[in-house]
Amino acid sequence: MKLFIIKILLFSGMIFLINLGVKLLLDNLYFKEYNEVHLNARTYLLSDSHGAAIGEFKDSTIYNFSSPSDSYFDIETKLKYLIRNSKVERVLLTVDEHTLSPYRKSLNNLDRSVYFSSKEDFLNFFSFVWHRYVKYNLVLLNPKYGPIIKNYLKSLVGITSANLNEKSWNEVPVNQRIKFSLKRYADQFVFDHSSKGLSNSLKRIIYLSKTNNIELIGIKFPITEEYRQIIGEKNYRADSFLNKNGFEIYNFNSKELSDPKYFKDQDHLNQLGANIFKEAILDSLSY
Amino acid sequence: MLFNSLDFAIFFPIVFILYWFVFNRNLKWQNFLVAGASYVFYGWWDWRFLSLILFSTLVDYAVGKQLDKTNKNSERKILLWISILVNLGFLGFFKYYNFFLDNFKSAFSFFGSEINASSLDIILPVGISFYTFQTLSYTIDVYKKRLEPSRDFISFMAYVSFFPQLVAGPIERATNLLPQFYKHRKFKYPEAVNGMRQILWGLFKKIVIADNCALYANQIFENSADLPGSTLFLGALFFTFQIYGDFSGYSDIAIGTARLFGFNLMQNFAFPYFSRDIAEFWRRWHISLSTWFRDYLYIPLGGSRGGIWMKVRNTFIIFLVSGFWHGANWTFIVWGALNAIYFLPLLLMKKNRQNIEVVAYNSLFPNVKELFNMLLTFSLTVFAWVFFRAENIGHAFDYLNRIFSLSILEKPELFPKELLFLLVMFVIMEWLGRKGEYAIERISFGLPKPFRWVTYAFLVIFIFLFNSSSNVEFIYFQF
Repeated sequence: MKLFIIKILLFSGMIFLINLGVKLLLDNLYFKEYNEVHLNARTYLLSDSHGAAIGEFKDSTIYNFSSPSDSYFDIETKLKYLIRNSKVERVLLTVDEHTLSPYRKSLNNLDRSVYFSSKEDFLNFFSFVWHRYVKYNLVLLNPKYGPIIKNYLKSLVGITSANLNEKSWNEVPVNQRIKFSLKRYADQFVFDHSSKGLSNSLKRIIYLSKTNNIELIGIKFPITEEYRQIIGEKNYRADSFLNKNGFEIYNFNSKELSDPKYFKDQDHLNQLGANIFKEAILDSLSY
Repeated sequence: MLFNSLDFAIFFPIVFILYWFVFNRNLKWQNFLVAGASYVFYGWWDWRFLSLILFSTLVDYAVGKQLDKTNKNSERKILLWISILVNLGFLGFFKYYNFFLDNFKSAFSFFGSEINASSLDIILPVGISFYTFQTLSYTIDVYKKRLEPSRDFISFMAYVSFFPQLVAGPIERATNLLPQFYKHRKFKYPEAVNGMRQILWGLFKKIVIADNCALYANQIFENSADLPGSTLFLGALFFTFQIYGDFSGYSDIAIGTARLFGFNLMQNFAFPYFSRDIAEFWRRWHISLSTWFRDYLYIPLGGSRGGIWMKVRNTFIIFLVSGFWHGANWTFIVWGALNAIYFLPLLLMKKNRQNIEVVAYNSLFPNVKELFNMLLTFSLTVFAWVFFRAENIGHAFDYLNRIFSLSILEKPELFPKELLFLLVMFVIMEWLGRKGEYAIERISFGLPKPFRWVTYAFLVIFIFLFNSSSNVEFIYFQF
């Protein structure tokens, strides 16, 4: 038995070393950028990929703290972090049609946003240690990371190219645009009802903003005309929820900003669109 | 609880430590721990169905004791039938009730009369087909006086519910497993290391091979109406590897886990895709089920001793029942019938036992004849798996029609090079390890330690890299 235990410990040591190597790689590829935040700003944009696509603001008092796939769970954790560590005064919060979709409940950044959590965010200390330190560092257990490392290794040996050229949506044939938009719609709007968990998280975000004197403004991002038509009336209604609670909504989902040349796909702005959009936000905020 | 889940990763070491360090001096307590842990393991999925296992255990234990007390043939027969009816009754209700009802309704409606009965919303208890057969083997063996009835309820309970093989086999005979619960188990280092190695290989087969094949097989089978024959051919191929990786992977983990507790379970798969004929395939695929049917159904029916018609009848019975065991769907029955058709010519020409030894035992490569026979047998198997995987008979025929059309020459719409490369590597590893009980068993025979450890490290890395999604259920759980 003694020998067996020694071998098991050695085997565990080997797995630990592999885990360590993978974690170091992931730190650079996956975690580092997500964990970056400027704490000197006064206004923070908290959104998913719609917000992340627009990049940084020139104005240093506004910081874009958005990340692709961020859900309200992640945003809630980030907001608590900002409340604890910064002088946040205003939050621009995404309230797009899909943000309360149950699909976001499974596709999110809980594994990364836990970095911003503290023990007060958990039911007990054990749960905090488990999520923040054990699960966060035991990367071999998370199936999400395999493809990231695999793609990185492939790009190293030249099997895949790291980046695709950013195309404008108006270069995509119309039938393809509709096909992509339908696919996106099928992913995001497959459920009839909104997610209860995400709705509760949104409620907590509102509560946190009210109790910490943070001005909360809902942002609806621009989307292409094709996608707007496909979405139609479908909306999980994060916007009206915020509105009912007395917060203002800036709706940029309008015809003025739906020119295909501003987009790289059906619902993400390209660089040109992002610049115009950022100007529009600043105008709305009366900067 | 799934073997490839975090829950099991926590559950297992706790049970292991309690088993070897706390209860190791008391056999009764050790068995009690095994039974308790097994109930926790099963109840993790749905605790309500624990009552089924417990009831089955109580009935068979009581029947066994009563069989011991009487020598009257009529009473013994009644006792045997009680056990059979209770066990198969549960199985029939949970697994086949709706199937029979729907088919009766269709049949009556065909003849112009209607039956007013509606289907029930029945949840199929995980592993019911496995533990039902396991307990039945006990009663039948006691009835046939091949086994002394158990007088130790805890041991019997642990035997019926033994968690490594409870939900997807191997279906252990009471004659093999039950006596192991009566004896004091000693920790044996080589067995434990062997068990760990087999678990690792099983996880590799499940996570890397089966789950990745499933991604494509599911996609292709679900959209088969819109895809060319070439893609459908790949879909059938992926399913062929998926079902093997999934099921034999589970068996490897089960056998390996049992080894760590000092138990020896029977080998369930012996490299079936290297078989040179269908008879050999069935000696190497799901061995615990095939031998169960052989011993408790085929031989009592007369086996292959009678005339031609009796052989034909018995062969069809065993394969049709085997197909039906897998699920309440005509697709499984056709799959069984197809295998009977493959098998019969060999039986009738008395060639069903011509390939007993593992292929190319004394050489690295097979000869041309062996290679041809292996490819032929493999192709027949792939063909049959289409019925096994299809939603219904119509779907299966449509799928095969498309494969055997000119669209087989078109460029496949899906061609996952990475997965195909993995499959080639997997087949090579299985080929090199075919003389062992599982592919990497003999890695410890004469190979230097660093090489072994590098292999283990690579397997771990592959499991991480190709973990397509967490906690994909094992296919055979649904049976």
